[in-house]
Amino acid sequence: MTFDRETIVLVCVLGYMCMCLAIGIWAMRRTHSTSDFFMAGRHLGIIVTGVAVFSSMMSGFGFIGGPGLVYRMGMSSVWIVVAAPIGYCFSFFLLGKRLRLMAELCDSISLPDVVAARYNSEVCRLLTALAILLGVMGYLGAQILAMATVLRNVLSNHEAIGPVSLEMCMAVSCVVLVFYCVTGGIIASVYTDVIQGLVMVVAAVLVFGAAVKSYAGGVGGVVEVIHADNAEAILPWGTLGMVGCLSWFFLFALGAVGQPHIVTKFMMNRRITDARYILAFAVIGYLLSALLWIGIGLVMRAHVLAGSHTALVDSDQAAPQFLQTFAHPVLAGLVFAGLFSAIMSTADAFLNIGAAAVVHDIPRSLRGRPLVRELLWARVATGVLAVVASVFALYSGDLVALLGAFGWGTFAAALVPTVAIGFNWKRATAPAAITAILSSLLINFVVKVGNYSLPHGLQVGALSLLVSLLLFFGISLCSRPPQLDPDIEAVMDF
Amino acid sequence: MNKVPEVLFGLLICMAIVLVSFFLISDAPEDQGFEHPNYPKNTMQQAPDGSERGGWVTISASCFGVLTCLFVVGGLSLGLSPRQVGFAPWILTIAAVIFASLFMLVVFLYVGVDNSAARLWGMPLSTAMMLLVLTPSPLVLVLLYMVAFPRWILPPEEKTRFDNLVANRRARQQ
Repeated sequence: MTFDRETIVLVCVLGYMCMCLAIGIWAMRRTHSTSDFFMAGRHLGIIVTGVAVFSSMMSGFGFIGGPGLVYRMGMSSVWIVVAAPIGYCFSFFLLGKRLRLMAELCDSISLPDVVAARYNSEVCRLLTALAILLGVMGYLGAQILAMATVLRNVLSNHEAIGPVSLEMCMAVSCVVLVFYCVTGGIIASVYTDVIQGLVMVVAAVLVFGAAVKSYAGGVGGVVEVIHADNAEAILPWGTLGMVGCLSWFFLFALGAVGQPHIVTKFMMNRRITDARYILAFAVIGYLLSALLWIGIGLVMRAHVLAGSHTALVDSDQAAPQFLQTFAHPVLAGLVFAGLFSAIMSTADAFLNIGAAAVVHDIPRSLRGRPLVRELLWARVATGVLAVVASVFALYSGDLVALLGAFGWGTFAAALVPTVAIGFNWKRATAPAAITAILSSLLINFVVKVGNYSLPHGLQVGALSLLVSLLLFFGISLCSRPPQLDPDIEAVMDF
Repeated sequence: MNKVPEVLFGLLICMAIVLVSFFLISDAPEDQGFEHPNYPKNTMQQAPDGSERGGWVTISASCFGVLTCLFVVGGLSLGLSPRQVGFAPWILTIAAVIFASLFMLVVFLYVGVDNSAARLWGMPLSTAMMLLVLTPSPLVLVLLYMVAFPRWILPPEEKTRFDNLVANRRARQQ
């Protein structure tokens, strides 16, 4: 029986990887220019963009870290899910139209391109690209490491294969990821995202049902056993408390619009007016896939408290242990494929924006002109970035976790003022944007590297976002209104 | 003309003041959870009873939450088409107030009611309110975005003007 279960899981994962490779080959025939490679030629449809937007946000964290946090802290981390729908609304209201208009006007192929055009500043472009690159290295490394860890679990659990090294699993994961990203660029990335997003939604809904059914008494039974052990765990603030939860809420509601791997996709849809439908797809997809996050975490906590499952030695084992013990083998296989989907859909988005920063934005800001044969260099940079991030993840110890944690908060603090506010407010100035980006890097690095803890569970990302927003508004209001490019000014009037 | 940025800046200043108060209110380490005595370290946490976590922290955190709700929903007005303002900013202002009120309802239920055995779909009232009402409530804004896009966000005549602008820019560049 164990053999059957592990074989089914392995077949699902291998089948999924083969499909990614096939999409890479298909997308290669449609990739003829850097615009195709980085922007999918701005030809994506509603469903493709909508699913890509939500699947890029629901990374491996949502499938492994999220249930682990709910198991450990109760309802605290659910505030990240509460923040997501309003965060998507904030993103689309502020950038769904504006970013797409500016990208088309300036024929931009990356977010720093549009930032440079808006502020008429190459320094803004360079700092935006560097902030993106720093965040990408941490995020990408963490995603690749997660992918290799999951693959090792899948392979090592199979009797016919036995123990496999992490390095080998990382190499296999990287080859698949790099193959479809190098051959098909963002086109392969978004079309794999569609499959990945659909797998995630189906897996999450089925697992939520299985989780509730696995416990006698359903939702009420789960709640009662958790409540009897510690009432706070099942109340809205969980064990973290109000301040920690609300700083997550602040960071994730506002911070979504600062995530470059998400908002870059706003520049790729075929028609500007499609944004109105893309938002709906993104929000509904995210809410459905978050069912797994909440469901598994609570149910596993209840099972352990009730003694129907042994205590976990690591809270991140909540999801794998649930699948191992309570889910049907086919469902477990689907969820493992969903887990790879969640990780890869985020990793490929990071590879794409990281490659754009390396071959397009940084050279343009330093040399004033793009590289010759940019498409070739983009493909080379994609492969090199994946290898560097893998080596970094394997051998940097805690640094990769540090940069991974640093990612969301840094992106949010650097890009929410610069992009979300600055693209909708003519008074915003380049010095204000530069200050906001620098303050975000400084605060996040100092607090993380210094390992300072803030009072009442306050998150450093929330602090840095608030400071950078204050600096951005304050400096802009105290400065003389900037002289904008007439075309950019016209776009800001739409 | 458009005072939304100034209003948002005001909200941010209020948030900063509340945030400073977090540093001034005494902080007991156990308030952010402590290890469950029956399970391995770093796997499961418990928290002190809500009554031990109330007082000024609850008041300050509630203010922070309300200001966040007002900022995020009120900030949507920045994305409206400047020429099509009309009553749209007022609708978004009302939406911001409703969203903040739903958030406060979660807080009130947590503080006042959740020691009781009252349940909604098996969950304590504040948790049910958070999961079943507060979380999906932005779907109304999603619907609004879908329906009002041609009036509030990008009216067709502005789209035509944009197309002309792009065409002129391309012609100049050639």
